[in-house]
Amino acid sequence: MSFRELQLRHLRLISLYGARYVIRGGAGLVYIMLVLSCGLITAHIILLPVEQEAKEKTGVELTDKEMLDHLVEVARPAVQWMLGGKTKNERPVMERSAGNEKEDPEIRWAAYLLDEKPALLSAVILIMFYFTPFLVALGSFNQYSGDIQSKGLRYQLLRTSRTNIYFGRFLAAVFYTVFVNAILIIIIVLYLGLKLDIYAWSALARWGLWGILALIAVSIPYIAFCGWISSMIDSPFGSMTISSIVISAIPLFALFGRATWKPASSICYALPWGIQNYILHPDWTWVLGSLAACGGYTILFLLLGHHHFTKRDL
Amino acid sequence: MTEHAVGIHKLCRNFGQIKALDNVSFTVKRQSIFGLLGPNGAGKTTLFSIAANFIHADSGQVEILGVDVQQIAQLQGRLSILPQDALFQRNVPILEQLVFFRLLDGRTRSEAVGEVKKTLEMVGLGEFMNRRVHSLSHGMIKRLGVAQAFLGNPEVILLDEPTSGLDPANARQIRDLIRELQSRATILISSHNLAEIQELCDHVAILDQGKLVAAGSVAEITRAGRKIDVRLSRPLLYHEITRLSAPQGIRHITDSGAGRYTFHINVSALEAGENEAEAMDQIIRQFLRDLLDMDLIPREFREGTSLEEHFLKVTGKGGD
Repeated sequence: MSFRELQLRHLRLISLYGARYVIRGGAGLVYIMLVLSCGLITAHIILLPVEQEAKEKTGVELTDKEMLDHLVEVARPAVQWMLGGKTKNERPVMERSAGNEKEDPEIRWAAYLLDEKPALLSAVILIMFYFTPFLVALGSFNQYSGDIQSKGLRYQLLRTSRTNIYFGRFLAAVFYTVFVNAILIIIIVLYLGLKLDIYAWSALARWGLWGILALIAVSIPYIAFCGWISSMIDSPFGSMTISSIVISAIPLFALFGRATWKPASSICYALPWGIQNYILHPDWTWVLGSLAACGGYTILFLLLGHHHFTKRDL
Repeated sequence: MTEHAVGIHKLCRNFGQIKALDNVSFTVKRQSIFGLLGPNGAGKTTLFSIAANFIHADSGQVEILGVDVQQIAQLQGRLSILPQDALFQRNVPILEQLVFFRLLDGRTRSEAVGEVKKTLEMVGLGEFMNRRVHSLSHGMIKRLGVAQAFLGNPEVILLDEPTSGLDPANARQIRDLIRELQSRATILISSHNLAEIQELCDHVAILDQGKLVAAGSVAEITRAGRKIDVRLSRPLLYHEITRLSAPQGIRHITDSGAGRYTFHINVSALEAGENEAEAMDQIIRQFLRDLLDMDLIPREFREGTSLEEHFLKVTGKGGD
């Protein structure tokens, strides 16, 4: 078994049929529903105050810009915290001067997302960054385990190599995730553009496209991770449970662990949790570094999974 | 080109403490139908799974068409298998699933569709080609498995219990197909149906608890189990059984009820070679004469051989 056995024709066929089987099997539809529900509910929660203020503004006479500025200021501390920084009150008093605040990278980062880019879309994308790993676990847990359990792969094993099956199915999961994330962001962008009429279409389209690419970049290492787990465990339920537990335990452990022992937060680098937000960073070097790290995680998990899949009994 | 299509060499595989295969070796000639027999848990499916590289051997080697199965990519399109208990995708039409397999084999879509339709017709599933697997019966799914194994022109076909769960008519149809394929492929069949193996196969190997306990041509192996099945006009009385057992040629008699008896021939009474048939004729002649003397009319009479006899003997499941 080696990478020399990779055949583009087989990869294309396996990924194409893999994606179709996922939809027909029902798991794909569940995944679409989950991502769309999660994304649209998030968007709704963010947009609801805007819509409410819009309804009430006849009496208050706020312009669209004023209304948005007000909301952004309310949301800014939460965004700063999500980007890994501290809220204003958490910083030492000496650091609270206006000059220091401008120098604070998280504040600058939050300003980039909320002031320079369409803030509402930034907020949706940022929140989706936190949901995506869990959603990916629910969409990618069954890349191999179900067919290993049912021995359905045996019909393919004499027709193509294990390497083609492994990477073909991984690509099927990636294509499917691209499709679902694109639909989600397109719906939100259309809603923001048509209903609220706050941002220019060009700004929305550019940032929406970047949001889709960013969500995909964050998803891929988790898909590879779930593929690795799925290649090791014969039960789809077992694979889903372990993937979900590992993906959720790492940030929780990092969050609560650092309260007692600061280095415990380093565990978030076991998965892309520690670096994924930098894809939305204003500085391109950080963005590229984050993308490269996502690529590195993907390659690592793919190699581990491929090694296991090609050596194991099927 | 090697003389043998399949060579199993000192194959061992353990599952924990259980020895699924213990130093198994045998070869299968090209364009023959080879039967693999054994009770449940004997290691037949494990052997097939190693031969198809689904699982790996602890030691030993399997060669198919001169290729070590570790290099299974070199056998793509030349080897096919009907795996036991492998499930198809439930919600996908069967035509589409088999077309996908043929596309992987390198066919164009139109070629693949044509071949698949023909094969599905061959196994009697032509009218169900657009049905999904979950709406097929167990027998239909088995035939679908056989169809995917017959797709293309494989030179070696491994069939793990191809007729289990099929009704007699469908089982007959599959056996006929296997016989037709013999001219262009080497076929290995595992089955619990000893009569079927005896009918189809040239050579057999018998596995028991992971060990090879017998191997050879069917004629050779069944020679030890020659018999005469008769249905008599009335049940035999005790003294009649004694009298019929007395001739040297009859080893023992099995009463199947309702006047049906099996008379097992004492093989040592037969001389191997040209005189064997003559000696058998002599035993039958004496046997019929004794029956008529006792005023017993044979309503049915069939001379045969029994693989079952030998199977039960070598696997230690027989009475004697």
